[in-house]
Amino acid sequence: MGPILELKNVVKTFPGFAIKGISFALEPGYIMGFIGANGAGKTTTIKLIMNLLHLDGGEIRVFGLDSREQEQAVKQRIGFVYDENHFYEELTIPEMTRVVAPFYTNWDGESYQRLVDRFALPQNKKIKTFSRGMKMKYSLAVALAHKAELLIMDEPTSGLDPLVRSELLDILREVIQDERCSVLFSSHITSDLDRIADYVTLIHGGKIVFSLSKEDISEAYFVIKGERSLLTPDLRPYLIGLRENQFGLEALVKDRDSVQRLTGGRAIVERPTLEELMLFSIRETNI
Amino acid sequence: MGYLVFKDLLLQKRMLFLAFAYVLLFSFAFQSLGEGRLIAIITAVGYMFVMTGAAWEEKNNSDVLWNSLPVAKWKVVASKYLSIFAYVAIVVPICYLVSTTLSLVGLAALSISIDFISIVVGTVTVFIAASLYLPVFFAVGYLRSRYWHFGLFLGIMVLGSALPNLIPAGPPQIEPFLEKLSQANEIEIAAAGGVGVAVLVAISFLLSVRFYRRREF
Repeated sequence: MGPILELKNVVKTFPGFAIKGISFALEPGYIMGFIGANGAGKTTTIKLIMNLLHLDGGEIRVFGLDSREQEQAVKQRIGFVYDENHFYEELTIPEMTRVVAPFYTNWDGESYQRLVDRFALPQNKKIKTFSRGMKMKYSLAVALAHKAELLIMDEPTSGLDPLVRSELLDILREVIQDERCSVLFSSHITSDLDRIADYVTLIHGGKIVFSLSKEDISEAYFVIKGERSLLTPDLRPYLIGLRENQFGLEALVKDRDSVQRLTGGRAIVERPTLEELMLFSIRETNI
Repeated sequence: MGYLVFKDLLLQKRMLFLAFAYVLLFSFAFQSLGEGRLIAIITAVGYMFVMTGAAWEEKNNSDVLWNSLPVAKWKVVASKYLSIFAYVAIVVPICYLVSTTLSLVGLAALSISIDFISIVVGTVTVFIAASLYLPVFFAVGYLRSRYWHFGLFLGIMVLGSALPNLIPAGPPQIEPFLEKLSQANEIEIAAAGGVGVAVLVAISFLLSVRFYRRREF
């Protein structure tokens, strides 16, 4: 079985910003964290996957199908949760669901009701009275009720309190236990992805910096910490990102053995968190 | 597609009270139109429903929703045209209720006589107005399409008031047409009008689909 989602040399150009030929793939049954700073191109990429924006170049395949030519077949199998509510705020959730559900051939009313009950979503209040967390839970209930094989989530946890965030992540973990489903989860809150992601793709300035499994990341990248005197001209080429202050330096490196040799074992070597990885990879430094 | 029309009706719930108020208001305002009053009320209130429906879509940024769901774009467009029938089906009973109430309170002169031909002509008029508006709405969204809407209706009002003065001085080429029109019977005129409106609606729908497919969200 091939990738559930595959982007090949995807190009989209706007005045002042462009997605510059990005490629990555998501295998079935995994959660991919899609990270990057605000304005890096995460939402644009997701909109391109959902065909909300037209492609200027490249190809997007979902379930092995062309996402443009077989748009309806692809969207039958996708669940989406966006950072903003796009349901009609003047309607109640039974009204909204009556409008949305008939478009999905695999809609499972019982699953939907279980989720609505579990999330304790009010039935007779208008969606505009819901908190951000409740709106997000309703989006998730709709996304899961039609047995989606791919969940596309654009910053679903931003603006949520820690309790709701944790609940959302627990549900995602449950969902993924059924290995039919994959998740593309965009976020700049990297601690969420530390908990649940199997793969991480970092985008910066419209380009993919890396797209790796978390195991590969933890084997490939290291953070070194030590005195500023460690920063010799020989060491600099090995540094991916560097942070200096009056007390010392921190840097992201790939070749741990060479760095250990060059520093004479005086550098502390740690595994980076996703946040460190993101910050060091995209921050402008004078290496 | 029926569910998209159903959604339009759900969103108009709040407009129902306003629709009663508008029908009452127009019953007074359009007194001078005599038998054409029902046509004018259906047109005005029906078109108001079309505009309100468009405004709700913009307010909820619902294009992102519909274009993320497995719904063909042409169906989203078609539902806006089909909803017109539903809007008229709401306006006519409201006219009846308002008219009955006016008669009961001794304002029988203001009551609206309801007849099938006026309902058909009113529906056709809403279709004509919506056909001129909806392609622009689907091309640029509600906020920017309002300028077109205002311009269009200002143009129609100016043209409408100037037309009687323009026709006598009109080009001689249209005289044979006017003469032929005066000789035609009602069925021929209705058939020609029906074909004309059908062509207008078809062109409008195709343009709307084309523009909507080009849009990005």
